[in-house]
Amino acid sequence: MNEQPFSFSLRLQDFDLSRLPISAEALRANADLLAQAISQYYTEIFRSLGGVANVAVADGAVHVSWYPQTGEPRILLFDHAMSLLRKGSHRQADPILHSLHARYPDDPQILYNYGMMLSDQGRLEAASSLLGHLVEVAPEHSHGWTALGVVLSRAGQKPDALKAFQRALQIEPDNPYASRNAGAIIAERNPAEALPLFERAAAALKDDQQTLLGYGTCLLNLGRKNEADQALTRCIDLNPLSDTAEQARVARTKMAHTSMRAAVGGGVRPDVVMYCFDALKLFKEGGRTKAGAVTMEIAMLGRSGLDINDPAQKYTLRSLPGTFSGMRLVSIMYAGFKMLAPDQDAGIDLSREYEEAKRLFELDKGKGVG
Amino acid sequence: MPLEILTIRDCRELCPDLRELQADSVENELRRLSEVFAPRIRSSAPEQVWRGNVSMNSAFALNWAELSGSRLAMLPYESAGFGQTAPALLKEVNAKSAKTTEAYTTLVDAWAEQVGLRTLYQWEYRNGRA
Repeated sequence: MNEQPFSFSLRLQDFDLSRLPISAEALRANADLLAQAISQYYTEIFRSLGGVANVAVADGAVHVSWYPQTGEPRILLFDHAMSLLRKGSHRQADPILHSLHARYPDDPQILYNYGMMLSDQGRLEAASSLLGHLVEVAPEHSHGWTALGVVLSRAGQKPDALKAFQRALQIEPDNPYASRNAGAIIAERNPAEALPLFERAAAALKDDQQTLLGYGTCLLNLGRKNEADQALTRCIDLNPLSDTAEQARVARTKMAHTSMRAAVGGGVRPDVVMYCFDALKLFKEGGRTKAGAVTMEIAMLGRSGLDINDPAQKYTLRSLPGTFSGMRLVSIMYAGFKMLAPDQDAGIDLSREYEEAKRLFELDKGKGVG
Repeated sequence: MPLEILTIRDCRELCPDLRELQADSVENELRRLSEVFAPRIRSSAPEQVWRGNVSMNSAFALNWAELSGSRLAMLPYESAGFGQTAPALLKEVNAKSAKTTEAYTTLVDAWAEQVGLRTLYQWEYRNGRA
């Protein structure tokens, strides 16, 4: 048994009652229940870690002593918390980091990791307090300034966030995370000024989706479409099912849409009208089942990106014979969505072409009847 | 409430990846349920209704205490003298956990008998049977 315990005391009034599965109002009304609940909370946490845990409530504070079976308690607890964070078990890591922070309130490593975890959980006020304290006790902590900037940015305090990122870059000019985040804020008003920051971040963080999204969007806003497309495509490929990939898809779709309209001087594209017209005929013959199968298959294919500016017929479907261009598939999908789920955003505006196709389709039906 | 208990058990068993989310959700519910111990509610609720409600809540808390391995949820109920009520109600859930409408209505009736609320409702079935 280790003779050096991990010990700390915390005033009951400083205990965050939202940690307990009991109404805060009920706890405040019953001092015995409050003391019992906080005592039980720490007892369960430390007994689950092995060794011996002594928890007592006295003089308005909870006093905790934990004797691990072997090893240095601080290292054991910190490593355990990091392992839980890596597994994504924030819920289990939280009380351990909270206890470590109660014992070592000025420890930069604990402040940084606990603050980052709270930030990722959206507990921005608490995260800001810890990370603000971190940069006070360790003013040269570049990652601390970056993490503080992220919290401030998430809280909508963009000017303060930018200052924090810039401070991080003063300390460590090659900090790619500070570059990326500073770039994201600057890009909102001046993409040209933000670009070098994104370039530096992208060179260091080649497999980071957020960086590639910011970099690609910045390039797009500067009119450098080919480079933007490369960055956004890479962003999607890294983790196609993530929210970041979805944002990259939206950016690519907008880019393709702009190019598509520009090709006809902003007017109606006759090829798209005919594709929609053919789709309406196909869906009339095959019914909703066919329309659903084809539309969903194209939508799934489109998650990896459909090139609507390349006229080459390079795509195939299982639900429809033949080969298709990207624009033709998108047109069929658009017509399908209009039939199956008219309120759904198809991700591209082909409404003018679709309306014209519908008009032709109705005329065609009229001829058939006559 | 009995249905919620059964659903919590199913979710815990069938969706282990959701355990953290489930724990957050159930603990939120436990916080909400234990508001009945706040003086403003305790003093305004009729005694019979309050005791019936707390009895059922205690079974909900005990179910979670057993699943999660933490006694915390049970503390307010034990402290208020509902430590024996919860196991009795949960025993009914364990005995009538079949997923049929008949098992469910029987379970609800058993709970209502135990907490003294059986006279407060009657079943009306959609298929017309009384």
